[in-house]
Amino acid sequence: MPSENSIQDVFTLGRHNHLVAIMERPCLLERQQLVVMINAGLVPHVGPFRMHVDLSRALVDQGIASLRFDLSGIGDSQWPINAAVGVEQHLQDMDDLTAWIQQNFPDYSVWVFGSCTGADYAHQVLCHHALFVGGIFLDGYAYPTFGFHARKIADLLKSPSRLIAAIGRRCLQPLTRKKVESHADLNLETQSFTWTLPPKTETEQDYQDWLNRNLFWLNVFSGGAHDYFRYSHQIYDAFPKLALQERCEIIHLPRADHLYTRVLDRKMVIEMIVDWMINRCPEVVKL
Amino acid sequence: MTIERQFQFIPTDTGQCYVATYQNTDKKSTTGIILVPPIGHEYFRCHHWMTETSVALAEQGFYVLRLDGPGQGDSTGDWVHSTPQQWIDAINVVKTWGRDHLAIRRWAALGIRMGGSLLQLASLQNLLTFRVIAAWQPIVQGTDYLNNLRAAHQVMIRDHRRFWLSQIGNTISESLTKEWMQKNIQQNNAEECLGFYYGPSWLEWMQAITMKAMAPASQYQKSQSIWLSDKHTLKNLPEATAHIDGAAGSEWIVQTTEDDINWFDPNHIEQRIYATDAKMQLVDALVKYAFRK
Repeated sequence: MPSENSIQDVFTLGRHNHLVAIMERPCLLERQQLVVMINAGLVPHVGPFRMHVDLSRALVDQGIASLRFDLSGIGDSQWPINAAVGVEQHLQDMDDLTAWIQQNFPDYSVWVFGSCTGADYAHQVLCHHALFVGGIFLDGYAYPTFGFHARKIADLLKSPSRLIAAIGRRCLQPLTRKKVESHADLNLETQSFTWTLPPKTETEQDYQDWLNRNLFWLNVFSGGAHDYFRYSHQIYDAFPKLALQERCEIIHLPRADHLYTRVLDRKMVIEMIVDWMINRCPEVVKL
Repeated sequence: MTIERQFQFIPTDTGQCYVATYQNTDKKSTTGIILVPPIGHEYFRCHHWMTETSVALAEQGFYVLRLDGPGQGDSTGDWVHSTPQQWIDAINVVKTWGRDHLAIRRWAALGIRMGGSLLQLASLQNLLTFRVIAAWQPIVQGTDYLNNLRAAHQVMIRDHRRFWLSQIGNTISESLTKEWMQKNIQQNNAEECLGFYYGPSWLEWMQAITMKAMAPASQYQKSQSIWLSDKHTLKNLPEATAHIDGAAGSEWIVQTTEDDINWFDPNHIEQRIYATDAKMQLVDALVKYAFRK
């Protein structure tokens, strides 16, 4: 149903005034929290199958504002003249957005949300901008562990057809592998749907930094991340030196696909995110 | 040449409609064109195409208004509860808003896929009036469209690469299908197809689309029609239009395009569409007929 508890505004921002963002704010409850949503790949700011809009409206019903944002060249935002190359431009966009929020909404606690390549950007934003108090990552970073490999083998053994397919793929790999020199060699379409997992030590350092800054973050993994994520405690096991349990929550939804295409999967993940947000920001100011 | 873009929410009877406007600052115009998007997953595939086409039309001197239909994109409402009538009402509201706020006097419309069919049918019923209606790959057989959508959805939910867990034992795959059917029944006869619940109103309306009902009948229609589609879609065209009195005066242009798009490939339901051939043909045709005195 349309959210009757919200006000929607469109803003254009950025150093070239080329970026478009839709802000949805609550009318009845106000928690002074703002969730910034970054594009998933090349999908416009409404999100895959309108997920960002549905999430915005579920959040606003709980008094949490949201900002659906298009990076340069995606959705309603333009490529600026003299734009930087691909990812660099998008990181510059995030700098512009951060400055804009600081200027216009200084009282809000700001969270970042990203799915797929959006999760990659969200991670980098959380590292580079002190403005943000936490993040929500859908199919973000994870590293294989002993438990991951054990489950992978067990899953293969459960399904003979998969086992045969896996062996076939392994045998044919040298013939079919396409050589990609670097991320920069990929075209925009491919770049926008792929990201390279940074070295584990780098992510460990980021997490340590986030712990020092008292950030909270939520990692949600779908079945689409099965290539590198297979069980709920995998992140904790991958970083045994860090006390992540209190700050980093992990939800594993193996039945969902990477883009939460099925309506029920989408509803479920939205509900979980909203619940998690409510627990992180309990104060409610009645307007 | 500078194209000025503005984005706003326009109040409608059912909430707010998100509208993007594109104007050529060097060529002020009183001729407006409304872009009506496709529905469901096709909206996401066509979004980039629509923004590019909006710019191309603005460069030619149109005042372009691209809208998100009720229950779609940033507009208010849920897709499952939206109806074709709400869409027609929203288009009329946007038209009135354009007349009052942007001083647009002459109107054309460009509908993509189901957006094109909606424009054409509403125009035949005199629910919408435009000088020119252009439709890109309009749906000309609603039952075929629905069946293709249903079939693509079934393939998608059984796709082991997409729904990884269904790989581990066939029983899970079966239970997924059962669960899907049960949940569908619970949603007031709504049907899930490629990411969205289609409500009874849209389902019923879509089933009524036929080539014969869609074909421009000059005696009823005030708008001029331009259809751009592939030869395969328009193969039944001569038969369906045999009843039309061609002497009544209205022109009807059917063009084919080289752009080959598989709309129902479940592996590419989120992939962007780059239909350059179609874009250029549509822009040329709209310029030719919308600006004609």
